[in-house]
Amino acid sequence: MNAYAFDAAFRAAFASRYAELFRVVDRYLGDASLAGDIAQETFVRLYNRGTMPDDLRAWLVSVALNQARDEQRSQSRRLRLLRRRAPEEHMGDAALAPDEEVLSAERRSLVRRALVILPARDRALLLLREEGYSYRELALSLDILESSVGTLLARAKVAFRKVYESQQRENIKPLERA
Amino acid sequence: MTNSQEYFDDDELSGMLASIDHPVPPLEVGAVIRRARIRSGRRSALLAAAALIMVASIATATVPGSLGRRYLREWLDRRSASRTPAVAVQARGDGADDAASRGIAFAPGPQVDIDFKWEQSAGALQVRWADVAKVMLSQTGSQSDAHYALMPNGVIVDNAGSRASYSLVLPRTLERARVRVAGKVVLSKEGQTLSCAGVHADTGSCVIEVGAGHSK
Repeated sequence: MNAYAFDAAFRAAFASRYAELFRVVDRYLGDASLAGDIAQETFVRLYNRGTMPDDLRAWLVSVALNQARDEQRSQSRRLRLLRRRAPEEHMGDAALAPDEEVLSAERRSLVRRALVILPARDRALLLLREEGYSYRELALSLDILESSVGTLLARAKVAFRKVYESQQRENIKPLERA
Repeated sequence: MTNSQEYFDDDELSGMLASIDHPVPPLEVGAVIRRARIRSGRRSALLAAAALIMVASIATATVPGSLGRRYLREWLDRRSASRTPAVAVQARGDGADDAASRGIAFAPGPQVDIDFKWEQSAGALQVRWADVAKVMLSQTGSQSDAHYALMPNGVIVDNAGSRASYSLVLPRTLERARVRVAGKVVLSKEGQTLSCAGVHADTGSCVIEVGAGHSK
């Protein structure tokens, strides 16, 4: 692939995959600013690679999630989480009534907490499957056997529901006491 | 909200995940490419600088008398000195017709004694101080042979019948040194005090006659 062809392929890849990659990392980390940095950095690395990988989606998400995991391990990341900004801007449910808005915010918080608590591989499986990744792409991205993807995915879904509901119960308890 | 299964159905899960999404930050592909090129350029510049330094160092080290060469020599001397026991013989000439290479070199302890056992009928000893790690004593300009015996504190030169001249290079850092000819001290250094029973050359070296008359 010559330089012009690569440049064109890169631009096409960016146009089709940037938003998706950002979304996956944002859901994975729950930090939009960091997710933006990681998505950008991933494309910078792709450009400097000089060739397109055989499986672009798997390559992108693998590189991005590696960075996300590194970031999570670092102390600075933990500090940033503690200082998390208060109200966040969200895409969905733009014009809700006040009650609904409270419920919606509560639900978002539950989803986010459940995702954070979920083991990293389960979280990645859920999020990537949601983006339409095939079993093969999931196997490539997460370095697991393709034949195990179905089982692992089912377990991840079960685990997510369990964690979500346990968080929900934790939320209700203080109200019952009151 | 939930079904009776063990997990949320796909639509429900999609809705839950979509609810936590943030807007995608706007980013131009051109900005990404620029950033990638800057980083790539920086890496190339670093590699080029490293290569340039390496080439310059090699080039400098090959020029006689250059700072780089001197530094390299000192470094090599220090390395070999640290590897060599204080009394190890580094070089020793054999063969009567190989006068120029005849000599001895060794890494000294705190004190060095060089003893010429006999007065010679001719010949001189040039002593100089240099930034080296080893004591180097070599025989120059004669076919007469002398034998060198390495001792714990220096060398005994059996120069019976020799008419040779010698060159002695002592490390500048050496604290105590003494050169004797037939038992008479012709040069001594104790700390900063240096005495030499010979002629001080302009170069800072000292030339001592090993033949008769060295005690003048």
